[in-house]
Amino acid sequence: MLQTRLRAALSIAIVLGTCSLWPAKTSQAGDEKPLSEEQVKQLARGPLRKFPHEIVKLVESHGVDFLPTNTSLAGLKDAGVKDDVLSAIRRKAGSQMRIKVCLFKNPDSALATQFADAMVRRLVERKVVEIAPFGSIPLDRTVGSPEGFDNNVKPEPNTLYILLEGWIRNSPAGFSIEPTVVYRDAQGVQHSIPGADHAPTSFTRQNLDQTAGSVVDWGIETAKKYAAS
Amino acid sequence: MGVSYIVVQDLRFDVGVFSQTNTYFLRRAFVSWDPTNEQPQSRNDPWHWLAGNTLRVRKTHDGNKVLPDGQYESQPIEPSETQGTFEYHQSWQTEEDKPGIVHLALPQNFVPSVSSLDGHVPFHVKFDRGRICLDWFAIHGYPTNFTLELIQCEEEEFQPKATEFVQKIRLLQKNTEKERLAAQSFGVGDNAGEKKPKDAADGWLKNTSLVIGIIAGIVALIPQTSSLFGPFDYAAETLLVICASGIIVFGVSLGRSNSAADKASSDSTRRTGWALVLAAPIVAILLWYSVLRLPPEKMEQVEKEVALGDAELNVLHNPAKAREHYGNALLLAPRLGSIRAKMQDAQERRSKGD
Repeated sequence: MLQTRLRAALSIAIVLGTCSLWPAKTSQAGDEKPLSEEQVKQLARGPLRKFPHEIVKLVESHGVDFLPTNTSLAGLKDAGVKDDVLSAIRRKAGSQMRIKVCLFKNPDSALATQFADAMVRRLVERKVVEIAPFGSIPLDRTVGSPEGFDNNVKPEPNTLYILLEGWIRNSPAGFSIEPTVVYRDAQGVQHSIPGADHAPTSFTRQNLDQTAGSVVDWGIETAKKYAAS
Repeated sequence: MGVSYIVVQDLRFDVGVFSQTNTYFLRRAFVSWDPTNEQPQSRNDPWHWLAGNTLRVRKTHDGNKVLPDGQYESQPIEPSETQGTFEYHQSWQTEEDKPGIVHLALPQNFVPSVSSLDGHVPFHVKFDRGRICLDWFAIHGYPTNFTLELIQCEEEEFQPKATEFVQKIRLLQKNTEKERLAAQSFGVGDNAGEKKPKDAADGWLKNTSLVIGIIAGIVALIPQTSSLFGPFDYAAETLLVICASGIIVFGVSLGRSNSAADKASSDSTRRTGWALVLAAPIVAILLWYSVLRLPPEKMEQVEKEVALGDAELNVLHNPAKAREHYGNALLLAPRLGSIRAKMQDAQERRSKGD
């Protein structure tokens, strides 16, 4: 009897020992954080120096937490990051980007909502939002709060947002408008980016839709300009 | 106790007349009682061949040249009252605290009387080249006198008688403590077979190196060898080198011990030794190539998995994923102990929540 128990205990110990030696085949999904610029540099200089294709795979699986502007891409290239990896970063960053329309600040919330809806319509009408060199950007139809996000509209993880924010003020001729473009990185930090030329400055109720479309176009131009910086 | 001198006595019997040539060395020298060749092999032979080639003395010892300090003729034999027997009187006068070795090669067909040697049994006796040879430690106050007998017979008939004598003496050999120590200082153990210190060293090397070589070779072929040696890579390859070295040392020491002893028919064993010396590295290389070596594409895969593991652990700070990559690498190359160590590191960092 005792012998049988001992044998059983031994068998269990062997099985457990074998299991502990066997490499874990699964990892936690939440562990795959997007790669920072510095991490990409470290990978290119360090362990994966000989295997740039593996860095490409990591970029594709993890994503990036930065908007790869020309300046940052040049920095990465100087650090030894291969062209394949840079292309993958651009591609991946494009797929992570969203242009998000936010409610413009105005005491008349109905007007602000009308203006935001017109901007979303414009985005939908464009069908494809192309921001060189990232390619087409997935569409985001949800209107965000004036600051971008609140309890009702939450950011998606690992997403790089181009937020179209601004003010609408009453003016004698109708309304003056002050649009701004804010880049929100994957960590949630918001960065104001310099606007493109010819930003719309005023509108009336008659040309609200047209002005909203112009603001969207201007916002996309601003994002392109920032990407090229 | 050091032995200060060696006296080599070559006793001959020609046409009814005895004559003895005494060659002496008054310094420490290395003596071999076991010349296997009939005569020196060349002019550069490192030995003095003495007493009808029954004894050799090294021409150098401890870096110094060893030359005979003198040679003289003597006549130590007197006829005995009994027909056909003779009395031998040791002519060498020993000095106190200056013990030496006396080697005596008797003429062919002469056998000493065992009983006459009872008071001073030689520490070494042999039958060599048809002659009975006797060796004593010539200790002060113990002159060597004995009776010897002429056996009238053919050489073939004399041999069994001589062998019988040798066996009887070996039974009688009971040395004093002084003699035993002196014997040891010359590498002669317990008055038995001749064994030089170098032979002993070579023998030790021969046996130990072979055992080390075999054990190292067996351990090298165990796939999980690296786990026995902690985080060291190429433990099996190292063991294989040790194995090859062991066998080489074995082969060399085998060859050296044979050539040093000049044993008869040693050629084949020497050839075996050198064959082992040549074969060991070839076998080691073949084993490495066929069993241990990772093919380049597999090695690249291992390197890639390790690099990914390093990237996950040190750059992306994801020990779970790192452990997964190290595990994959370890499955491909279980002998790389460093991967095991990395895996352990990843496990520890995962446990700590790094």
